[in-house]
Amino acid sequence: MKITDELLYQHAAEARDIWLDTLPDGSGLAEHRFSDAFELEIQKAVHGKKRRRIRFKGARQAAAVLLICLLGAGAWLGVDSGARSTLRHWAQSSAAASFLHRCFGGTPETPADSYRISWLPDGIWTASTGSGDTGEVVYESESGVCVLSFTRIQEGTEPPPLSPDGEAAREAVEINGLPGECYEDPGGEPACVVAWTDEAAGISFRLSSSLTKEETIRMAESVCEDAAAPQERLP
Amino acid sequence: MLIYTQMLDTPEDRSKFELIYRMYRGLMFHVANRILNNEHDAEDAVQQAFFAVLKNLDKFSEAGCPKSKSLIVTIVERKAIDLYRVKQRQAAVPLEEEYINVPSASEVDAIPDRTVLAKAMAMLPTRYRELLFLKYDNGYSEREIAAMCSMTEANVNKTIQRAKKKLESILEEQEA
Repeated sequence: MKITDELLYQHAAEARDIWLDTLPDGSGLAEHRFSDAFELEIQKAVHGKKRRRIRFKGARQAAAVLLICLLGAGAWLGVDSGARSTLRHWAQSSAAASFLHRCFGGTPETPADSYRISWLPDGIWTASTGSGDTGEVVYESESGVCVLSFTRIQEGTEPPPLSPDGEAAREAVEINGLPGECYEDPGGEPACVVAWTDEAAGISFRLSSSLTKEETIRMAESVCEDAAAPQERLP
Repeated sequence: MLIYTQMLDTPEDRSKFELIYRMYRGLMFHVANRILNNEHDAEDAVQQAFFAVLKNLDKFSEAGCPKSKSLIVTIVERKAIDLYRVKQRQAAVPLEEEYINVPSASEVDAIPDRTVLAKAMAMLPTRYRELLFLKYDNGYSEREIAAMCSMTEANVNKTIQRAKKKLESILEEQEA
């Protein structure tokens, strides 16, 4: 007689019942009380498995959420150029701050190391950057010349004299709430010099111009950071 | 008993396992102790068998059905035999793995109204019987059987073929 799979499928359950009938049933067996060590081993294994499962399950969920956030952020940055630009600026400034903090023990208040005059009298002004140890921007037009220089404050270093001979009358002024001084020489060159210090940013400014005192102070008050300036930065 | 149930998530799983534990722990210990002849080792085998039951609880449709009982006894047999091999106990009577829980002809013949083939299957040597039941009664694939019994898939196939040959020779002897 050839034994086929079909025959075995047909008779397997019946064979199983026959075999089970030959085993002792529960009533015929002596009751066994399992030992305390047995119960303890089971308990340890049970709790360990459940903790691992919970940790693994929690980690899987956290990883899934993080992946979704990363994919979403990546898709957003891919389509939004403004967001990309903001992220790039933030990354650059954070990296710069971190580097300076590690190397020099302090973070500069003003990330940008270049400044510009945002208000100039009417006329066509061209700007060029100077060279040297300080930052300098030179504005020229038919109306006159203005030179904005800015220097990082160094301890123990005296600021440059306000007037050519150092003895001309100075007038105390305020530039955007910051203390400063003004020297005026209407027939001289320069005609007016304004100097002020931003201690919080650690920078001292000097603006000399061939224009009037009022125009020079107004220009001084319009000085702002120039993140897009050519890379002539303060040391 | 409650110790086991902390691995289980749903009340249905918990009650299913409780029922299995209550119904079969005595039989499982008896089967393991017959193989190992040592209560401490038999408890170890039963412990491992319960872990295997927990891991595969979804494969037990109802705690009290004969299919589940057959599977549970098979699991504890396997665990006890594996433990016996590990310990390599030098018993007074060495373990004859082939005939663990194999009923005698008289025991089988005493059960009325059963087909010849079914009786022959019930009297097969242990390993043949286990694999045939796992495949043709419980419905496991050769791959699943290999994983459960720590065998290769090729070995499972070969053993099933030998079991069929054995059945054929038993039936031929009976006809003769």
